[in-house]
Amino acid sequence: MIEPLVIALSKGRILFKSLSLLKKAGIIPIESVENNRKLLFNTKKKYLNLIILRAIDVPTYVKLGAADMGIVGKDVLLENGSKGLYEPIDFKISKCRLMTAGLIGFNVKNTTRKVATKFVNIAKRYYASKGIKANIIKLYGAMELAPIMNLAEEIIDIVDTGNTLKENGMEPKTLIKNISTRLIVNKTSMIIKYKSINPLIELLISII
Amino acid sequence: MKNYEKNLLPDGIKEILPPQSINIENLRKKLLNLYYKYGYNLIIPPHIEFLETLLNVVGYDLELQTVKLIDMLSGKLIGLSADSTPQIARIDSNVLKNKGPYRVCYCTNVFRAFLDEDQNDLERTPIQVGIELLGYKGLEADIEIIILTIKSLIVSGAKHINLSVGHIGIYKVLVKKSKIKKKYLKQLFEAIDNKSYTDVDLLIDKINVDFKVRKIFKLLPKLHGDFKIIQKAYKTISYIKEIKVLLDELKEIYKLINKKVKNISIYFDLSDLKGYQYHNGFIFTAYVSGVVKPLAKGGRYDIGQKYGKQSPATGCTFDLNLLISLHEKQENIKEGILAPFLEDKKLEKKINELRFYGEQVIHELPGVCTKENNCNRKLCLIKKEWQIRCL
Repeated sequence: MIEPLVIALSKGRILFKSLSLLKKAGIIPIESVENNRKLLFNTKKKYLNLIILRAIDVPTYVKLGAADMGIVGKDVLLENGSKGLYEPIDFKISKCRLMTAGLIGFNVKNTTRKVATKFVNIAKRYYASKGIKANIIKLYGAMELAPIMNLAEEIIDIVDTGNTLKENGMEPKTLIKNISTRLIVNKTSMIIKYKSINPLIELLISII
Repeated sequence: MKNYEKNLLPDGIKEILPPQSINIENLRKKLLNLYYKYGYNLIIPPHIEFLETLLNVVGYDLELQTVKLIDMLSGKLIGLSADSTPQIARIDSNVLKNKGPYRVCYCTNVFRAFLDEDQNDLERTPIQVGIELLGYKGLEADIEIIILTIKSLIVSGAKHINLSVGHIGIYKVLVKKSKIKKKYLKQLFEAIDNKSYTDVDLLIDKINVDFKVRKIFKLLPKLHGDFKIIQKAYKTISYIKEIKVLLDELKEIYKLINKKVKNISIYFDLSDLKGYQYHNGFIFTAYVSGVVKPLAKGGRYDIGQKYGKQSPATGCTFDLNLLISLHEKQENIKEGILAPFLEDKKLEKKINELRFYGEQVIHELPGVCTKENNCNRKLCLIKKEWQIRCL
């Protein structure tokens, strides 16, 4: 008997790409996911269910065992810690860079600075490793505004094309980490349900 | 402080209330009784030790987890024990000074400074139950500990047990052979521990290690699964002699466990590096479906070495509060006998007799309709004799 599995997907820009990847593995939701308010979907493989969550909640669901596996950006894992999870596959989709950024032509030279970001933990670790004393200001969005409005001298954010930064008179400065999408697995599920999880991992690796 | 705040408890601290409390106590008795039958000596380690004694041999993680206070009498720092195993090792080598093998069990509260989210911790005062077999190197000791671990889980109510086994030695051999620089070690450890296939690949390519070892490092995170994995490991990574020895050890343990217990799934995980930092050889973790956290963790270690005495040891610990979640939920069982509050010698004799045979007899207090009692029977005076009647 195959034990039922739950896979948690992140809402937002990686949802579409994760779905098309799962489609290649034959995991297709019975109903259309787009323009649907439902959050739990059955798939054509009867033992597999999908749930759709905010990216930041995906590791929590998987860590606490409410979902067995999840697809989520490495940025979320770096920020929230991935110690209680396995992260076997790098899907190499939705690639982007986690960078510091600031106003064009303006380089902060002080060893203290104000930084606006939603990645508070990453920022703390990064600046500590550079020996910089950073005052970190937690924002939930529109980081690009912070230097313009003199709220911060630097920001840490995800940079994809760099267009949003450019339009606001800013440029990316230092690369902190390359980001891509990962498969995460609950440690207990991996052992108890390995008969269904291990073949699925191998299938997913083969189609990347 | 507002009135309702007076009832709040600190994060991760809880009261254990009836009927859970009696279930926990019964399970504790059952487990200690089981260990007694196997010849394990009960030790009650102190909750408090001088910090320097407590932290003498433990790793950084456990140091952070230790609650620290100042001892008013000596002016020194003291700590609340966060894990009993190092204490047991200290007692064995410094106090008991045992020369041969010695079996120890314990059941005690330990205290944690914070909730470890990575471990899904929900409480800071687990009741740690453990067994340790100290001073013996052979596989027989590991097998005994595993058998006893499985028996403990069955006694607690587990039906089907999943046992994950691994060997930290494999990673240690590889690190020693590859001579990787210290700055990369932490990254590598994390990547392997997370089974992050891609990260291990990238890192190993980056740091230029010997060809022979490189291949094994890349394969290691993928080597987890049922017995086929060991066969695969023999084919792919056993060309290093030291590793072959360790694989032989795992295979032998697998055979012996399978011979002795039924209804258990054994999972091999060669990249399992978890557990406390003191483990140095064969390790295992037990899971039961329906419980997200591992129920038992154990393996081989040698803490005694740091006390100046070689003491190869193996053991296993459980959290009693977690084990009790295997206990089948029952409706409140009423089994007490209600007795009237009377000055009557015959009644008193009858009550003593019933209690002698293990019955619970509760006195009815005059003037109150008692709700708290869990009685299903009552003592009544019938034909001048005190007799039990159903309620």
